[in-house]
Amino acid sequence: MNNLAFGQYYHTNSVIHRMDPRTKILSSLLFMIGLFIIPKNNFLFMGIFALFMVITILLTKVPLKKFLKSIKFVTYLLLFSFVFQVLFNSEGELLLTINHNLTLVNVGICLVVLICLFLLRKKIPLFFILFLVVLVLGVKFLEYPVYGNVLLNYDIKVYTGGVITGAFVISRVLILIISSAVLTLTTKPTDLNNGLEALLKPFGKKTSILAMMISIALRFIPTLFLETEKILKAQASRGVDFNEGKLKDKIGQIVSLLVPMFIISFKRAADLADAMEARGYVPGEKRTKLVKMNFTLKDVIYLLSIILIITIVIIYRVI
Amino acid sequence: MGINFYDVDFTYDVKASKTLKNINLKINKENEFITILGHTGSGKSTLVQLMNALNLPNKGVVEVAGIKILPNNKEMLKPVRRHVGLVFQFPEYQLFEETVLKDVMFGPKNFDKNNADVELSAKQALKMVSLDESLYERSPFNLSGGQMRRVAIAGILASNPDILVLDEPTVGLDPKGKTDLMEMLVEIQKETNKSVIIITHDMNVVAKYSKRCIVLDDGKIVYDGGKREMFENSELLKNHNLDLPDISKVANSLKNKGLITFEALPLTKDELFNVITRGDENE
Ligand SMILES: Nc1ncnc2c1ncn2[C@@H]1O[C@H](COP(=O)(O)OP(=O)(O)OP(=O)(O)O)[C@@H](O)[C@H]1O
Ligand SMILES: [Mg+2]
Repeated sequence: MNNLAFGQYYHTNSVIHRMDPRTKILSSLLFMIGLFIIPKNNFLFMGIFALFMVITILLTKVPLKKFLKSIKFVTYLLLFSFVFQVLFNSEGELLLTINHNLTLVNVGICLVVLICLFLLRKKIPLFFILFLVVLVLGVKFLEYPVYGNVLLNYDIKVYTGGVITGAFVISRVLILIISSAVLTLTTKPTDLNNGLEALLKPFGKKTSILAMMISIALRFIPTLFLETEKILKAQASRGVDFNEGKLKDKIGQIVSLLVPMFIISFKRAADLADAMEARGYVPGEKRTKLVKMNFTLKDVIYLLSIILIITIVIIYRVI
Repeated sequence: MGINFYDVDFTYDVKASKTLKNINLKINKENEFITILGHTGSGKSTLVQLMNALNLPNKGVVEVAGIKILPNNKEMLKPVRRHVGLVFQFPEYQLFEETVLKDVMFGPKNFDKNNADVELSAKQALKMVSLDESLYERSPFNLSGGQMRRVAIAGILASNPDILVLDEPTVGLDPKGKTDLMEMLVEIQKETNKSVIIITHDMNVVAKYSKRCIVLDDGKIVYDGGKREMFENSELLKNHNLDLPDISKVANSLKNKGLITFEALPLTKDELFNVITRGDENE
């Protein structure tokens, strides 16, 4: 349950960790904007962005595994968008044509293999890679009309444009996710929130309330998970089994989870409000900070280098 | 039958150290009145959650009513949970229906879909916890803490488990509520012969009601036996953050002042009373 990629601070005390949270937030934001103004299919600029990200990752000293984890739950989305591009984008030259001859037998074999894979997915290490290999083999296999009548015969035409755009889209999303992972892996949630608050200050008094709300929300997500687990256990003691039952029973079971969730959350919120008030919190009032943020040379360098890259992209686009 | 633990290890987080280590335990189906003791974080709640398969062992076997619960075994858990009813400390974790009666009916309905008498068994359970009948149609959320606790206990009793486990049932109750609840459990135990297991920090409760004590420290069972031997073993008490019941403390200071003498440490009011009146006769 703890594999959500946010709030996943990883301590190494690297240069990036010691940077001002404001710098990190600003630079992530600029970096993301930059990613989206790169001209379409321009791999030179994408390469520069990727290189910048690689350098940043190396500087953080956070194990690569942590970054891969944050990518993990978009892999299928990426695969889907790539396949989509390859199938339906018909720009550029024709790269190859795949002629499929579907018969009952070869479609059946493919389905069986897919189902087996799906059932065994928890047991196979590096499942995704195996899945890719099987996918490619399957597409190839469907060309041969194994036994029986050909039910359906069609061509899949792959154009260079599709492959290039697919690769471009994937790398954009990948870099985007990694850059946000850099932010959350190297900045404590409280620092993140302080930085956000400081950055939003020029926009009025209300923003400090907003920042406090965000920080409370972040703080309580793990707590809520724990509470959910407790409720699940309490109801399991009373015979709730989320894996069985008809739809009607299922709804009842979900209600038995949701109602206590709401009750407990409201109770917690009320208690927390009292506790904050008792310690003198007044919404929107000026508060002193325990940790002063300071902007140093490394912040200037990091921010300037990002601004430099983006300026080049913009100049390139304008010309 | 009952509950048997064979070399059970349990850990919440594979990377962290074990929460329970090498637990071996045998609990009968009938006539037990067990209290589980141990300081905060020693693994008491974790242990009782293994008893009805809310936690699955990482190593070893837990056997409940002849059903073996193995690591990664997700089947056949419902009969286990029917056999062992576990009441959690905080009733707000389980109350959710519109009325008290409906909430109590939830358990039996889950365990036995074809049972037409769920309402009857719910009413019986509510009677057992002596909740006033006028409250049956009230919303469970408008009750006092003690009343909620009673409804939660009734919610488990209604499915008629063979063994009843309660996690710190007396916390947060007023003195009368506490006594009532404990008397009620004793009553249930005597009437039905069901085994009752209670987690508690209250030595007075242990002294008055318990037949057998299990002491946990750092995930290990360090004592399993009668309460008298436990309270007379001052070394054990000191090492595991336990304490004497109030009556025994009084008895000890009276003895130190030379006012009374006794062989066996008095644990309850009656025992102390006997010691004192016997002393009178001797003079
Ligand atoms: N859901 C959980 N996830 C991870 N660790 C847990 C969880 N529940 C308990 N623990 C840990 O397991 C250990 C034993 O906890 P447990 O709740 O069994 O203690 P306890 O003896 O019941 O204490 P208390 O008297 O305070 O209720 C503790 O160190 C606790 O931090
Ligand atoms: Mg506990």
